[in-house]
Amino acid sequence: MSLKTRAALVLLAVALAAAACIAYLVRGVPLQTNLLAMLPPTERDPIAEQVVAKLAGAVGGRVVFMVSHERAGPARHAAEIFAASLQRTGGLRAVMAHFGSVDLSLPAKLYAPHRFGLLTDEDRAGLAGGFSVRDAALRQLVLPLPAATALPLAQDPFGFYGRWLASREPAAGRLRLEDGYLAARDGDRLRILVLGELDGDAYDERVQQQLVASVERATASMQAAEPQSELWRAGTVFYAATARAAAKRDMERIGIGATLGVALLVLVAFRTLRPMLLGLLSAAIGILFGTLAVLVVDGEVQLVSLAFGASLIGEAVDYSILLFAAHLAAGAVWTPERGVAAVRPGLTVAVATSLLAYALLALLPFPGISQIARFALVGLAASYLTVLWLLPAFMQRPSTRNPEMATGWAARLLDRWTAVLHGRYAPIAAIAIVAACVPGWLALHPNDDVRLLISRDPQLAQQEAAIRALTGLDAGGRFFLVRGADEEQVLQREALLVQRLRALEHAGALARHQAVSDQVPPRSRQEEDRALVAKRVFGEPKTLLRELAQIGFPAASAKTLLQDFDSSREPLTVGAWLDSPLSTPMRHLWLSELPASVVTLHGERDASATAAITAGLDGVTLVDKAGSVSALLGWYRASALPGLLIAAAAVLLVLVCRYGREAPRLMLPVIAALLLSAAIFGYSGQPLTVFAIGGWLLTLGIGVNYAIFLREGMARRGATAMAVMLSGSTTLLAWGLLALSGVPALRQFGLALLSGIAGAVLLTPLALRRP
Amino acid sequence: MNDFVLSTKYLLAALLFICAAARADDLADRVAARLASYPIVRAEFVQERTVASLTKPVVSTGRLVFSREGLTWQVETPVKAVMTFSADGASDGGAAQAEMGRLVRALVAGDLRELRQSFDIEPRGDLERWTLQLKPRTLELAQYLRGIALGGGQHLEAIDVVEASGDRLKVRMKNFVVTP
Repeated sequence: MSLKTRAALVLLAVALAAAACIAYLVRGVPLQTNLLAMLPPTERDPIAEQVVAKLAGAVGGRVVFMVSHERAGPARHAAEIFAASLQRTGGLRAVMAHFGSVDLSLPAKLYAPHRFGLLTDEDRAGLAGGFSVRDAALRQLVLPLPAATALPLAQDPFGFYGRWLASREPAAGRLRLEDGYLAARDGDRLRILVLGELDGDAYDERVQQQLVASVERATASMQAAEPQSELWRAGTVFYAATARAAAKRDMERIGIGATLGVALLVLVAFRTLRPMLLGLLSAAIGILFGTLAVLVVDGEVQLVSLAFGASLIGEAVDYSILLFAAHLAAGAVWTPERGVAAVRPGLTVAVATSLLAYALLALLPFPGISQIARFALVGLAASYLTVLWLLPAFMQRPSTRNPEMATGWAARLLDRWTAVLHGRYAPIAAIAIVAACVPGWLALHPNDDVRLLISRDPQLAQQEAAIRALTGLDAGGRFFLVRGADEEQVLQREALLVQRLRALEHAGALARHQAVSDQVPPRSRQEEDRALVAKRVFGEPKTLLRELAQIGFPAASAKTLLQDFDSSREPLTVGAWLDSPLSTPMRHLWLSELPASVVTLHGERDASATAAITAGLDGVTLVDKAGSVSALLGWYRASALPGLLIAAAAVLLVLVCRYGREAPRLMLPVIAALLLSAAIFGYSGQPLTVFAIGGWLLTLGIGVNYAIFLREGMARRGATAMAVMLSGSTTLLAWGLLALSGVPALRQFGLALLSGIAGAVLLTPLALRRP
Repeated sequence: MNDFVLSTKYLLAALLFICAAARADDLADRVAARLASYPIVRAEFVQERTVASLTKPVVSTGRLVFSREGLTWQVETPVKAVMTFSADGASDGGAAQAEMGRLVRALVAGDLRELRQSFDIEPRGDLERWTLQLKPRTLELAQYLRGIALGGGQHLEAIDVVEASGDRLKVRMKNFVVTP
C-alpha cells in the first residue's frame, strides 16, 4: 500500500467514525455525573439494591431551604416571595413554605377506631401490673396539662391513646409550626423551612441547571423585597450541580492548560506549530475513536472518562512528537517512508506496553475505570495508526533546519545528565536517596473512604449541617432492611428490631429511627394489647361505669366508651395507614410487593453498636452502601498492588522479547520513579488509595516508553532526547494537572502521575549502558 | 407536621414564667426579673379543672418546686401523681415533652423573647399587685388555647387558663418558701 492509499483509508475511517459519533450526539448522549455510578453494584442482594435506588430517589429528589431574617414578619414575607418565585420559574414539582392549617382530625380518623389495641410499652407494663379506673382517670385531670388533645376526654379517659400517639411522634429538631410556617429561632434569626420536590433526577444536568438558575432568581427577588434575608440550602442536587461545575472547570483548566503548554513547548522545540497541529489531529482522532467505543459499548459517557479523554491528548501527542523529532534529525535526507521505518520499532514497543497497562486496567470491575481503559485502548491504538499511516502524508518535505543545530542542545544535555547519573558518586547518592525514602514509605497509610470519590462543597456542607441541627433530620446512608413472608412477619421482626433501637437511643448511640411498626404495630401486638385492655379496663363494666360516674363522666359518655370498645375488633393494617395522608412522609419505607420494610437511622453516633444489634434477629439486614463500597475500594487497593507487580512483569515480558537480557535495565528508571513517588505520597501525608495505585499503573506504562524511545533512537540521540523531554513535559501538563482537580480521587491519580512521570523522565538515562 | 402537641406547653410556660430573667423595660420584664431572682421556690397549690364533658369540676391539691433545673408538680389529693419537667429537656416521652423541655430551657435562660414569640403579653397593675394577660400569637396555639392570665405580687399566685373549647383550669398557689 502506498502512503497515500493508507492516508486515504485512515481519513475514510475517521469520516465514518465522525458520522457515527454525530449520529449518537444528535440523539443526545447521557453524561453521567454520579461518581458512584462508576462503582460496581455492591450488594449482591438485588432487593437491597432496589431499596437503595428507591431511597436514593426519595432522598435525592428532596430540596430543603431555610429562609431567615431577624424578625418574624419579614422572615415569613421573604419565605413566601422565595417560594412563589421558585414555583413560577420551575425546576421543582412542588414548593412549600406555608404548610397550611393542620388537619387535627387525620390521626383520629386513622387510629381512633383501633385505639384499644394501641398501647405504649409503659402503659402495657403498667396495665399488666394492675389497674384502677379512678386513679387512672383522675391522673388525666390533676396534672397541669390539657386533659386530652388527641381525642375528646370521654373517648380516651385514661389517656392511653394520647400517650401512644405522642410516643410515635419523633421530636422534629427545633422546628415548630407558627401560623402554618415551620420555623426555628436560631440565635438572632428566625429561620423558616421551605421544602421542594425536584422535577426529575438530581443527576440530570438540565434539572440541575434549571434549579440552580431558579434558586438564583428567587434569592434575588427575595433579597430585593427583604434585604436582610438569608438563604441556606441542602439537597443532593446542589452537591451534584457543584460537582458538575467543578468537573467542568477541571476539564477546562486541564484542557486549556495542557493545550497551551504543549503548543508553547512544540513551538520552542520545532519553531513551527505544524507538529502541534498534526499532533492534535492524531490526538483528536484518538479521542474520536475512544468516544465512539465508549458510546457503542456503554451507551453513556462517565464524567471521569471525559476527564481522562482530555488527558489522552498528552499521550497521543507523544507519538507524533517522536515522528517529528525523527523528521528534524533526518534533515535533508528525509523521506516519509524512512521516517516511519525509523520510529516504528520504538513506537510499537511503547504502544504495546501502554496498551497492556490499559488492558489490565480494563479488567477491574469498576464500570467507570473499565470505561476509561476502553477509551484509552481504542483511542491510543487509533492515534498510533494515525501517526504511522496518516501523518507521514502531511510530511513529504524534509526539514530545512540543520539537524545538528536543532537537536544538538538536547544531545549535550543528555550526555551531561547521563554522565551525572552514571557518575562515580551516583551509587552513594542512590543509597542516600533510598535511605531518605524509607520514612516516606513507612508513613504510607491506606484510605478507602468512598467519600474520596465525591467532592463536597464546604459551604454547602456547612449549610446542610446547620439545617440538620435545626430540623433534627440527620439520615446517614445506613438503614435496616426487614424482610418476612408476609406483612405480619415483617412488622413483628421490625418491632423486635425497634425495641433494640430504642435501647440504643436511650443509651445515646442513636438520635432516632423511623419505622413503619411504630405507626402500625404488628397485628399480634395489637391483639395482645386489646386483650390486656379488655381484661383490666373493661373486665368489670359495672365498676368502670360506677367509678367514671363518680369522677363526673355522664352515664351516656361512659356507655358510648363501652360500645366503642365492643365494636373495635379489627386491628389497624398497613393498608389503612398507606391510604391515609398521614403516611405520606414515610410511605417509601414500606415495600409491599416484597414484602419488606426499611428502618432509617438518624444521628448515628456509634456505628458498631448499630451493626451489632442485628445478632439473633431474623430477616434483618443492615444496608450500608457507603460502607460496603469503602470495603470494596479497600479490597481493590489491596489487590491493585499485586496487580501493579503483574503489570510490571507483563511489561518486562514484552521488553525481553525485544531486548533479551537488557530488558531489566530499561525498566530501572520507571521502577525507581515509582518508588520515589510512593515516598512522596508518604511524606506529603497523602493516603494510599486504589486511585494512586491506578496512577502508578499508568506511570509504569508511559514511563517505560521513554526508556524504549531513548534506547531505540540512540542513532539520532539529540532528537530522541528532545522527544522524550517533550513527551514527558506534555504528559505532565496533561495528567499532572489532574493533581489540581477538586475531586480527591482524580487529585490522587494526578499526583501519582505527576511525581511518577517526572521521575521517569529524569531517570531515563539509567536505561542506557554506561558510556 | 401536626405532630406538635403545642397545647401542652402553655401552662408550663405560665408556670415557669417566674424564672424569666431580668430586663426591666416594662412591667412584664420587671415581674419576670423578680420571679427569676428566687433560686428555689416551694409552694402549695390548689387546682380546679372545669371540663364541659364532666358533670363537676375536678379539684386537686399538692406541692410544687421550681428551680433553675426545672419544675416538679407533685399532686397529693385526690390521687398521687408526680410530673417533672427538667430544664435541659431530658424528659422521657415524645415531641410534646421535648417541646416543653425547649421552652423550659428558654425560660431558665431568661429568654422572654421565646415567650413573646408565642404570646402577646399585656401587663396590668404594678409590681406589688400585677396581672399578665397572655394571648396566643400563632394559629397553632389558638387552636387549643384562648388565653392565660397570671397574677401575683411577690410571687406568682394565680394561673387561669381558658382552652379554646371553653374548658378552664384554675390554679392558686400559697405558702411560698424561698430557698437561696
